[in-house]
Amino acid sequence: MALLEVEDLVVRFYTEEGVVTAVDGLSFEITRGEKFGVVGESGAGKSVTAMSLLRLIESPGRIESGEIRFKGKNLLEMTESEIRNVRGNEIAMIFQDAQTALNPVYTVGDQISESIRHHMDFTDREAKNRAVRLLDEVGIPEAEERYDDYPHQFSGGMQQRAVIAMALSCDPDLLIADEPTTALDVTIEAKILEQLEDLAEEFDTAVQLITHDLGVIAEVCDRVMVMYAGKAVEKASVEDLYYDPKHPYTVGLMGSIPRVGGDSARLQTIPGRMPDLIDLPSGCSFHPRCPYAEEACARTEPPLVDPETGGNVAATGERGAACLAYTGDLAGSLDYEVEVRGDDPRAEGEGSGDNLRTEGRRGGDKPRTEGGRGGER
Amino acid sequence: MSTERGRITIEGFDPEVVRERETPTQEPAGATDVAVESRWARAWRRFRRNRSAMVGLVIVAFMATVAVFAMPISLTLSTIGIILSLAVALGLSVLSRFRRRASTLLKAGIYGSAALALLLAVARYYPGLTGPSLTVQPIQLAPYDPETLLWIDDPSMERDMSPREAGLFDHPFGTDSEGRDMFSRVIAGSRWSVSIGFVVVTIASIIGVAWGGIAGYYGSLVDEVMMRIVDVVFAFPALLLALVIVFQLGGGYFQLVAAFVIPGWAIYARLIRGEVLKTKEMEFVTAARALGARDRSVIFRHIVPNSITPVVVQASLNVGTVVIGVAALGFLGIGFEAGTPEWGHMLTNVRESLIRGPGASINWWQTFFPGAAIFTFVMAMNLVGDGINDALDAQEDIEPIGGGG
Repeated sequence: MALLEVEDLVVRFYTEEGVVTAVDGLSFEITRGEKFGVVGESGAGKSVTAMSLLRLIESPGRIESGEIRFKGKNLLEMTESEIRNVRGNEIAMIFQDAQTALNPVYTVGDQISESIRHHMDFTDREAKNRAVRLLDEVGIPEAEERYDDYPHQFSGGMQQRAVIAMALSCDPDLLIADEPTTALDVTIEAKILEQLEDLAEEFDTAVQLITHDLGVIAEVCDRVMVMYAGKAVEKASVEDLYYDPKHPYTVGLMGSIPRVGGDSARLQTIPGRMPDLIDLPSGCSFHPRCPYAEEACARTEPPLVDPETGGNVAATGERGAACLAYTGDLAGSLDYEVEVRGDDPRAEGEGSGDNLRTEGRRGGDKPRTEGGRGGER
Repeated sequence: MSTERGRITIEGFDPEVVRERETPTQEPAGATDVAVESRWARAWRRFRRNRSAMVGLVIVAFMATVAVFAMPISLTLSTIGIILSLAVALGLSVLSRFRRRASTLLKAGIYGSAALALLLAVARYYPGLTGPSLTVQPIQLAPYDPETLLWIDDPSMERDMSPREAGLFDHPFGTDSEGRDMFSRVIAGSRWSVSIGFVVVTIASIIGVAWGGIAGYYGSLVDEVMMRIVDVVFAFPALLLALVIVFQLGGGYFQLVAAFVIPGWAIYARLIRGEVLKTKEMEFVTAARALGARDRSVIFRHIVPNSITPVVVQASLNVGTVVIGVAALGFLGIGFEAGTPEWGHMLTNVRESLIRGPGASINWWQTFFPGAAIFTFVMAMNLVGDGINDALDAQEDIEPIGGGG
């Protein structure tokens, strides 16, 4: 049994302009210890999905239907006090903007030990010891002294580490990281991601990493789900997604990664923008922006199918893409090509996928990280 | 569309060199040397630099001290019991924040002592259960009893004696139209005015903060209903409402407190609600909820402390307003027994005899000293309030224009 199973989740927001369907029939699952990436443009429903997992959707939003089973229990049917016990204790969240995710009136240490005291049967001193240890583990120097610092005395990178320490404070089984490094510069980003990976491994925590940065996904995740307008358009293992993307949207996203030394004069983008979630286009919601769109795409909404067989994929399905090309309803074909320079790790195991941004980053940024100590203060 | 892109390769930049170098060329900077300072400590530091606010604070502290020591304080055993058990309850609940394991025992202690306080409060209504009085503060600064008519026992005394006639050292403020020592009355009167201002503001702001915090946090219908109630309270002129309440409840200290709390809490509710609406959108609130905090602790531990600043400022400026209100009621003769040494009430005692036709002297001292006392206290309190306002203002380096308030 998977750690987390989300089935047919629908989240709507009843705004004055109309009903926004932020998440529309989403299904996925995360197994124990897995690192699961969720990627998509702004407004794709990534964060709403994350908030739903903790039942933190606030009015005017509502989880309309679906099931979120965590360790077999449906979170949506829990009482308020049961869900409170899950929050922080079993599922914890890392927020995008660490600066605002820390309460400015309490010391960093207080905030970490508060949740420890809240969930675990710890005395004040034990909680403090644990908090200091956690701060140390996430790489804050002189953790004992920094325990009594206020958030504004921490640098951006250290604040993010403190937020991670807070999320790890009660040994959660699932860590939801909502764009944990978007607010940071790349050198610190690389460090934090690496640390997140190590810590997840050490604590055997499953991670759901939400980001719009495909490079981050490549670096950290095992499996990826690409979201568009509240739906999953592609699900795949990270290698499959990069070397053999099946959905035109995924291909578009990868094409628009800016890269130093690229020979195109300007940034490639996907034309148009995310549709209005109040009034979604008919059929496939990506068709107005899709270069391969045909008439059929405006009529029929493609299901998430196995791109090889065209058969339905269950939530557990390893590989899935929601495009009519795989159900045989498309007259043309998706004639993009993905060229892989260097070795394909799928063929050679732990080879270096050095076409990816990951590698450029790992090689190029490390030295700057080491030298750039001043940025950490 | 192709995913083929160029790459940059750098050769010769070997980070291992840095890592393997024996002596680090640069020690990490010691940011820990910077003294940790909470925002209240910072506010106090800035408050201390504000001279007029410090003068105000000294005056307020002086008058509060005088109020405490003006007359002896004696309490009945039941009152002492109430205070003690409330203190125990408070102390235990503070303690329970630091311990998790003995929480059942602590809870029993907290609820037990709170129940004891309630029981003793009820017992006060049965004479004979209150027990004997105990003098807890024996010092008396007032040279005479403020309510004794001196001329009855002392043949040398008259009514309406000016400080000069009565002797500057015996009766520095003269005597009033009933022949009571004005100095003693002004000193004893500070007990009413000074304490009532603080008590009213404390109770009103606690009620208002809880009310507005809950309304702002839950929003929608809860907010709508709660804030309309606040609007109803605002619809009455405060002093008029206070007047009606005193008429209904009769005179007395706690009746007066109620009379000012009932119209007074609304401003705090409205202030904090606005701040809460702003604060609750911040990510640390969601973060706290994501860590499993209860609504109660989200509101009162995370949102309210970040929204409290305007309430503190309003409260400090409001003390003076309440004191003036009490004096106004006193001047109207409402809420006090005749002869009570309350500053406003003292003014009304001499209202009819102040100017007595051509040729007669004006008994200036009978209005001057109580009036000056009101003025001084309210003035000092407003200086303090302005100082707090400036000290809590986030823009440290910008000199405030006009001083706020």
